[in-house]
Amino acid sequence: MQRTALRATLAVLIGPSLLLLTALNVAPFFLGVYMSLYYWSLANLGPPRFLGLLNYEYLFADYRFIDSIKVSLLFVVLSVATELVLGTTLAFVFSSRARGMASLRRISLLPVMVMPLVAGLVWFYLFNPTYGTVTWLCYAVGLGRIPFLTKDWLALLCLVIADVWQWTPLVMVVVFAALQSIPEYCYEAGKMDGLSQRQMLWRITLPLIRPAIVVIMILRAIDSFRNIELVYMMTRGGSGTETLPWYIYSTAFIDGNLGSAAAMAVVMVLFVTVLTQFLVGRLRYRQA
Amino acid sequence: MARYRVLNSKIAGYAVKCCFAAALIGLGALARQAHATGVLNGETLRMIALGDPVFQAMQNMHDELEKIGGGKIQLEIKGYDVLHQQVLLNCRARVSSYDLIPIDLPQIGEYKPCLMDLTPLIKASHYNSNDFQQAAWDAGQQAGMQLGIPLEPQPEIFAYRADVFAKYGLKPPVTIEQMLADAKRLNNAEPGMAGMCWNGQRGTPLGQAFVQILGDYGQPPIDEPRKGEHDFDITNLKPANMHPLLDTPKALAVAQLLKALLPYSPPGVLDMAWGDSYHVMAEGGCAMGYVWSGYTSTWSSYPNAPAHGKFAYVPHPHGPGAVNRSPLGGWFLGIPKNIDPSRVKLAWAALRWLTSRGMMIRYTEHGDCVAPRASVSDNPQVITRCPVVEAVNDFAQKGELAAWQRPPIPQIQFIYNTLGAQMHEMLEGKISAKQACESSQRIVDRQMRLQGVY
Amino acid sequence: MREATIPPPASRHRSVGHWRPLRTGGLLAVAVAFVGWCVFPFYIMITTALKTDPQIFAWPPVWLFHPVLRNMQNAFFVVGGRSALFFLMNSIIVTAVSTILAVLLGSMTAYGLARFHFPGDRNIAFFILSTRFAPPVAFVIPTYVLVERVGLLDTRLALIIVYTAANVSFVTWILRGFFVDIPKEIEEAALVDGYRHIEIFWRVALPLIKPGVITTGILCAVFSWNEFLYAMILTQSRASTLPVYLSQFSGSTTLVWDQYMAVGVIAVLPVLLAAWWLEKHLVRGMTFGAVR
Repeated sequence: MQRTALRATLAVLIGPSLLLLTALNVAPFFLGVYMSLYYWSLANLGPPRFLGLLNYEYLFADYRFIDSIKVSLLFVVLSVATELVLGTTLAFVFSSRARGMASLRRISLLPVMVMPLVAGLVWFYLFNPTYGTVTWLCYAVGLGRIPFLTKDWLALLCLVIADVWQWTPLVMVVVFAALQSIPEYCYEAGKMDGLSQRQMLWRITLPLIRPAIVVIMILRAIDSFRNIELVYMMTRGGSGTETLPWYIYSTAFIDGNLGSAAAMAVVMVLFVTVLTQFLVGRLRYRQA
Repeated sequence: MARYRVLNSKIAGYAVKCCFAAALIGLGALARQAHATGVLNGETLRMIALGDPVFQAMQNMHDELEKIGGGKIQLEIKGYDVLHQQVLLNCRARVSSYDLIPIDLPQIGEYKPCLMDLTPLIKASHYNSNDFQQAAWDAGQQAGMQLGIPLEPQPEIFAYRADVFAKYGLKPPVTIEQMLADAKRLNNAEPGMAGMCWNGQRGTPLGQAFVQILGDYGQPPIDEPRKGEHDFDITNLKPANMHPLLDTPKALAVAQLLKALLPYSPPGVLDMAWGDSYHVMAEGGCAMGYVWSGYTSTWSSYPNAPAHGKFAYVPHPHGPGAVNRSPLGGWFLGIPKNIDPSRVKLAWAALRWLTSRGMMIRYTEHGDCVAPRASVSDNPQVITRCPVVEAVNDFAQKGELAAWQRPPIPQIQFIYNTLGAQMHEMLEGKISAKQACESSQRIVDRQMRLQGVY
Repeated sequence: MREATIPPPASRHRSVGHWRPLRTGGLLAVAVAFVGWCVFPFYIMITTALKTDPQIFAWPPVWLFHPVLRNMQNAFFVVGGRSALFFLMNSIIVTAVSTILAVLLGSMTAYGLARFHFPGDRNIAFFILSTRFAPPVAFVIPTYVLVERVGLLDTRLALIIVYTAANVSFVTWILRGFFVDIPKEIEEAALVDGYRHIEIFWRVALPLIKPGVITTGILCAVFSWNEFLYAMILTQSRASTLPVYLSQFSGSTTLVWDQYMAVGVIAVLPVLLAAWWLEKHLVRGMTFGAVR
């Protein structure tokens, strides 16, 4: 009696969520695999043509696909590294007891909540070659009128800057919270052992905040890998900023080639799944 | 006894109230009827559109339009790619979200399964199409069906600063070689003025620019059958005609031309698309440029623009061995096939109204310099406002306008996207012109095969 | 001899023990510079929304000008078409409903996973967590086809369902941590009193973690409000939300910047207010409680 009551309770509690997630995550994945075997066009109203693994063949011979993965990885590495370094340093800065630091910290969290699309919009305006504010600032200091968003490596840098602008405060706040949660006795013990300030930093503080840094690094890496809003608003894939999400989107909804895009999507999901299995496993381990 | 009386009076009270209410409602209905004498009959017209001058004109006149039309108008303006995507998504929906859809001339092939055949409607309402320019009217047809009514058909022509050319003793370019030489000569000759403006933005803008200049060299992007000495026939394309020709000597010449033009173009040209480059031209940032005739209002309708009244117009300069052929394009209005059948009457009435002579004259008053109707292009006020109209008429009469440069096949958008991406990489210096042409050819060919075209 | 007690939580403004800033002024300057950089784009956004057209395109940029409210008005109450107000309403409806559903379903699942241990619970928890990492780009393609087949294209319902699913894993993961923290004695007492499990969840456990629920709810709302890709593909005109309006003109630089920025400001305002109030709780929410 207890057992069935328990089972019923569990079914009610967990059932709906599981159902929803299966319908909207598992089912689409399999549908995506199915679609990737066909020529499925957005414009063509006729039935899709079966292609077998042809889409995948073309995919791995497609230099644009390989390049998009490279660009994505480059973007992730650049932005996450910058955010980590800046965020951690700033966390230390904000830990000082100076007056007003708390309010400054609260204000600095604003970019995190902004719609990524709006962030892209504003930075697009700022970097515009004809009337952008940043362009003008560079011009005013004598650097000339730099075409930020159309110059090869500079365009990717602009995307990184926009991403860093939006997410560094989050990293900063997380590391700050980790710093604050280090109990006082750790430092007292260190002082009693006669450690210098630098040694205390290296051997006490950093190891203790390492878990937080790892967590936020993983989260940021995964989130910035799937970022599409910045590319959508700022460069639309031009000038060396064709990231994997953008290439998938433009193949599916601009070129109208849903089958090919589905193949790319399958590859992307497998890649991300393997990655998260590994990373989240480590996360779980740490929490347990 | 008393109760009876109270009941009676209560009933009477209710009765009076009901009658009063009914009268009010009746009056209201009558009033609405009286108001709704316009085309829209009190209903809401739902349209999706581009930021092209004619739709901007509609937006500027929105309130006026609603008053004349006697109803509400819901006009959604989107960018070119977004519009294309949304029209396709709308086509797949069970019931269309829009009553009228804009069609860019080359897209009419792609949208064919999505559009309603207007021929029965035309016959039923005895619609007279004689006022339209013949080329414009015919362009709205596919496979014998009239799929669109010309709203803003226009050619892309070549504009040059007559004052600057005169100052430096130059004549307007007739060949592409002359155009390049003039661009070089005039680049930075005047402060802040680059040689030539063109669409260099990655994607559709650059793709279209490429295809149109390819036409100036006398070659279409696919293997169209010939018609006469310099033209091609796009009315009856067979699978054999669909092979892309993007890796030919002429295509290579176009790619090299674009590269050669880069130093004589304004900074940021690789991000310019239509409105952007016309804006720059109006501000005096370029000595010459390609311009869709309707957009000349960017300078001719604004007396304060630095370039106001200073541009003159000639057809597209042509390549060696070719002749003047300015590409015809522009926008048509059509009715989606999956529209709610009860709305067809409204849509057709609105369609006739928006493309009527009176409305077209009004558009020219609000910044749209296109006149596909003879009665409009002959109107002296229109000519004063939009001097380009005379030039366009001139070219049309000489037979120098053509539509074969951008064949209305379903794959044309893909061709633009591919060329737009490959050529942009070339202009950024990442690949050579030859590689860009080869890649484009390979990608388009593969897509055609994937679609089972041949 | 130190007692083996839990160390007291560090106070908010305690400076990190050994790292005593040599020049407080210097640090303050750095902090102000950083905050300045964070806030500068907002300043640009607001001022552009208040400028007139020629001022927006001016070079050098105009710093001092007379603010004009016309753009805000135009963006919302007008001009020629579908005003942003319509998109705003859709955003509000979709956000509100999907948030409520996500919090409801998520809290139930979190409770189930926190309190009951059954074979496979680890795997289910893992599955639910991993859905948070699903890249939207990859899933939007089949989801579009699915929604189209079901006939829910361009409906608010479709968006609500999608957003609820997207938020559920997040809610589950956060609230699970909160539920685990509730001392078992309270629930055991309730059980003894004859309450059924579901009643315990609803009347005892959930109210106890109210702050967690509120924070998580607000974070879900922020996500749904900001979500763009699904909204863009699954809706055309009837159910489009604010991000769809903002994404319409990507790639074009000459049109209606003023209205755009105006709508951008409005799109961002509610979220900023939420952020301001929630700063304390945000950290836990955004990092899955790994930082205690």
